[in-house]
Amino acid sequence: MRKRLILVGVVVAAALALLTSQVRLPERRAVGPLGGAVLAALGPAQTLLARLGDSVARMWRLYTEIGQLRTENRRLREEVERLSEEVTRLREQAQATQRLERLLAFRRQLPGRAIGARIISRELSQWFSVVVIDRGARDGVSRNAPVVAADGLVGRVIAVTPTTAQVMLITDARSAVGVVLQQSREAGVVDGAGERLLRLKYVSRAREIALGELAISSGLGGVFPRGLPVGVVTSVVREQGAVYQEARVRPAVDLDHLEEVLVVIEARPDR
Amino acid sequence: MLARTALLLGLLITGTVVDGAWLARLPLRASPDLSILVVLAAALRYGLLPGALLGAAAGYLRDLVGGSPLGLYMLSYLLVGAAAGAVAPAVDLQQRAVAPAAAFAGVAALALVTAGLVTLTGVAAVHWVRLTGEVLLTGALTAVLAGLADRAVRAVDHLTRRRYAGRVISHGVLR
Repeated sequence: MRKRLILVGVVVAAALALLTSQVRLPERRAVGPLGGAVLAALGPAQTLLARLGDSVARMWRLYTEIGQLRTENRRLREEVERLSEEVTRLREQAQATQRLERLLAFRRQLPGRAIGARIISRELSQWFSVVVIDRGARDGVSRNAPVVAADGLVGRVIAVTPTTAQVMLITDARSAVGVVLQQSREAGVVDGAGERLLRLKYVSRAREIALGELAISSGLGGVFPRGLPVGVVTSVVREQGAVYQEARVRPAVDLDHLEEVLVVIEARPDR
Repeated sequence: MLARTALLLGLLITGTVVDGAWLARLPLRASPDLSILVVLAAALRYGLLPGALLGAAAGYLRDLVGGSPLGLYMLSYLLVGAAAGAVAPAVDLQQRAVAPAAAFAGVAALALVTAGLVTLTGVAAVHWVRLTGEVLLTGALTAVLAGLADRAVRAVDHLTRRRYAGRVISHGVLR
């Protein structure tokens, strides 16, 4: 036991001597041949292990980054969805504003008083072209009130409830509007044919109808105000021996995509 | 004896390299001390002198690899190894808590001794609050791995015993 203690004491003394010899002068740190050999032997192992450690650390970082990226990706997707909805909403709002501005400008040109209405329902069968608007008797809407859009004539009211009204479009097979061709000044009647195009009838053969000519409401019949665009002539039919000539007219208003209209509640047909 | 020493030194070198090249580079605020684990496990198993010598070797390696003043860790590990070896007869190694407790105590003792030597030699200033935090963290991490080191040293012990106990070195007739 004593021998062992002496041996330990010797090692302690050696370590102490080593420490005191080098501690104050780090620049004189000499590892000696044994230390150099040990360091040289450990170098490759340290390098290998450090590389291994770096790889593991990189993989771990990658793993944690993947988790973060997933979270980030989910958040960004939600953000994109939210912004897309926002963009759609704003675009919709902008279009609605544009439409309403045009409608407003058109209203100023209308004779009498007109109120804006939104289309809340449609019935577009083969024969009947009717839409329902969100204005009714409470708002002053009455039967036969003309309904217009920024581009021209839409139709007329055929039924009214206190809060809504049914509007028969000019394409409805039951519809007939007295018109005048803007250039030739020939009068006629535009009928609904139950399809997208209208039929212009009872036009005298005295003058030729030009393609692209605009048909405007004549104001005759007392329902529609005078001068509202009804449609544009797209084709003319002149049958041999017939008294009148006929034409196909494309409605001035895009009735398939109508959203807001104006109801003329105090019309003056003889403007 | 030689094989055991070689294996223990091998464990020590592995521990030192893993400590410096890997564990110390992990993004933790402290890293476990594998060298002290080997020293403590050997000291508690084999006693004062092996503990002291293995401690000296471990410290020397750490000084070499870590770039600290030669002799600083050598003396610290040596003293801790010797102390562990000195108390070894009173320690029941079969108890499960012994290895982690010894690891934690060893880390704390090592830090204290090293801090004392650093103060004595004036190499650097000792920030005791920071040191306490490091000791707690390093001690806890080291204690977690204590069982592993103990098992490794036990395996070395088992390997070397079997090899020497079973060898027939002479034939003769007892009269």
